Amino acid sequence: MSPRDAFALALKEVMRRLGRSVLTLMAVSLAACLLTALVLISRTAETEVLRQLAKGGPLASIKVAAAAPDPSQLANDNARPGSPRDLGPEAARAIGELPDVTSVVPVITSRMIFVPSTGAPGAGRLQPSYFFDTAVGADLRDPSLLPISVLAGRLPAPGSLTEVAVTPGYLERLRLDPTQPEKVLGAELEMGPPRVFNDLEEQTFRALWQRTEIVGVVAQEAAPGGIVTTIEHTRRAQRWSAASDGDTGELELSNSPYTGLVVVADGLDRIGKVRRQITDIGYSTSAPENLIASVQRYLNVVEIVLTAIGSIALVIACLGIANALLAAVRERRREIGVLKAIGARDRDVLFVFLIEASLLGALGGVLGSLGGWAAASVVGIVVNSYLTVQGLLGVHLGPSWGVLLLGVLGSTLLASVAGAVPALKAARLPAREAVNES
Amino acid sequence: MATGCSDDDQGMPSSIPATKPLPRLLYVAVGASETFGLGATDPLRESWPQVFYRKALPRRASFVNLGIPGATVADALTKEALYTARLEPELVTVWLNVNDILSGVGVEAYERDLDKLLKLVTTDDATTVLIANTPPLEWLPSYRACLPNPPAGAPDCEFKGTWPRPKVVDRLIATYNSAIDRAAARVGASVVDLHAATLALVRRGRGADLVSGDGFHPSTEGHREVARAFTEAFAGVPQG
Repeated sequence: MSPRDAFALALKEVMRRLGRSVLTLMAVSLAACLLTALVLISRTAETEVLRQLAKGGPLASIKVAAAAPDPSQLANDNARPGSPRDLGPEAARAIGELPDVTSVVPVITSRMIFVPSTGAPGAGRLQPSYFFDTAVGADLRDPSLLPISVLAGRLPAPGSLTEVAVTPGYLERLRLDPTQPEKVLGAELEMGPPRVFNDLEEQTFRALWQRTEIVGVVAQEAAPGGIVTTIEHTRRAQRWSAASDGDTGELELSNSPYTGLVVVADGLDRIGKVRRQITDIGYSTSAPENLIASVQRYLNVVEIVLTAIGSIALVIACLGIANALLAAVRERRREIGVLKAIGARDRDVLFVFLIEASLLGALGGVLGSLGGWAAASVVGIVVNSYLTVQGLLGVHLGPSWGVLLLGVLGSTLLASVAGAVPALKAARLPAREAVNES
Repeated sequence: MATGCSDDDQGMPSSIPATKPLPRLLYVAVGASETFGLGATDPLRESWPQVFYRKALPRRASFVNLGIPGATVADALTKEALYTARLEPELVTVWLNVNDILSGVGVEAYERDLDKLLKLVTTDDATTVLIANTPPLEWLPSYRACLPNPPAGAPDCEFKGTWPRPKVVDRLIATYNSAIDRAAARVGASVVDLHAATLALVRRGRGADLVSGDGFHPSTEGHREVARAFTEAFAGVPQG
């Protein structure tokens, strides 16, 4: 019997007992759906939890402070920095040349006065009309290297002096609705670093005012500060304030060219080594490596448990296939006998029943995997609506082709294994006995 | 199991094109208490240099206010002008005359110091300088309070001695404004005719809106009108 004939015969048998086939198919589909949904959700949960831990940046990122390391803090994720130490291009270069470092991004912060323009959302609630905060400037050419998540709008264009992004703290300060961050986009914000002019009498500080447009709302962990801008902007601000004459105590100026660095290691398993190397160079570091490792371990356990639950359901469904095929073998004894009588070999009969089982498994796997993806998407919508209300970044449940394919292949394979016993039984049935019994 | 991570591009943009560097445009305001913002309800937002900066200049411009309350031209020469020269701005506004009149500075000394100041702040040929002339003072409640028999409800006289009569003040302002015209012409600065602008508004009955509660400094509305005058003058300057 050619494979084509075997397939046609198997298909005919599936269609002939449509009711039983549909029930078997439904069982396999539901089980595959459960397995696929659980795996998708657990994978997405792992990705999103780790993303939140990394605050939108790469998992293997390390923050370097313009401070010497505190020897008692070396094993801590959030090490308390030691005494201040200048951090500049030379140190950045030395760190960049370490063997397990992928990238180094400098960060410069600058204390500034901010005045939302009249008519900007929430500006009328600000009393007085200005506030002090820290602007965080970084090289924004490759934002994926920074622990910054965009909640609305976008980041400022690299090099821009007239664009900024604000954080949820800004929305809170102006008593704006945190669930509608997009309302602040396009508003103008005047900002200026202060400088001491000793010879000017009234008001010692004068600002270098710059009008900017709010182009985004972000969550960021690059450095403490409520406004995100380009490093060019904060470098200019730093130079303005640094040119002060007279007492600059209130300005809290730092001599360090950089406020900090964001360093990305080659992998999570390299973080510890890179941190030690940076400590040897002489700077304090922090990275959530211990936290990420712990969370990953627990998430792996969760994934194993959920996968096991789904797999058990699939095994149970495949037992249904075995049961259905055993019943079919009993019912089709005469047919099997006739097939053998006209020349079909044992392995041809085996093949027909195996194909029948595989067909049910494959079709159930396809329907189940797609259904599982749909179910996971619905869960994602519900979760996102909750996260939005909480003012957090939503999750993204895209199609995971690997998981879907595994669902189909897994169902097919398990169904084939389940169908093996009935198929063997049918194949070994003696022809004369099969015909006579009927 | 096969790795099945979902796309992780949400919230993290792909690279944004860098902006091209734009020509520098630094604006410095040199002046006295009006420039500093006294009289406005919210000086950081409503002082006339801030309003002018916001309305007349492109967003890429940056701005420093060096105004010192009570400053005369001589004061500004030793302080504000030196800082301005170091900053090398592309645009400078100057409003220094009222305190000189109140301090009794003679017009020759005023013009001499104003010449030096304008030369200092005009750091190169590309610097645009707008200089305000002296607005009329005789209509100010604080001036009228210093005249003999001040009107009822007038504020207390803030100035030592008594003011000259309005016609004398008028002539003094006219000589100051002529000096300003001459000094401006020597460096190619543009004169902002606050005198004519204020007179026109006062004659239209808007005088009360323009002065703050102290009877002397511009109100928020007054600051807006000053900014408007500077904006119109700036619009008439050829942009290089």
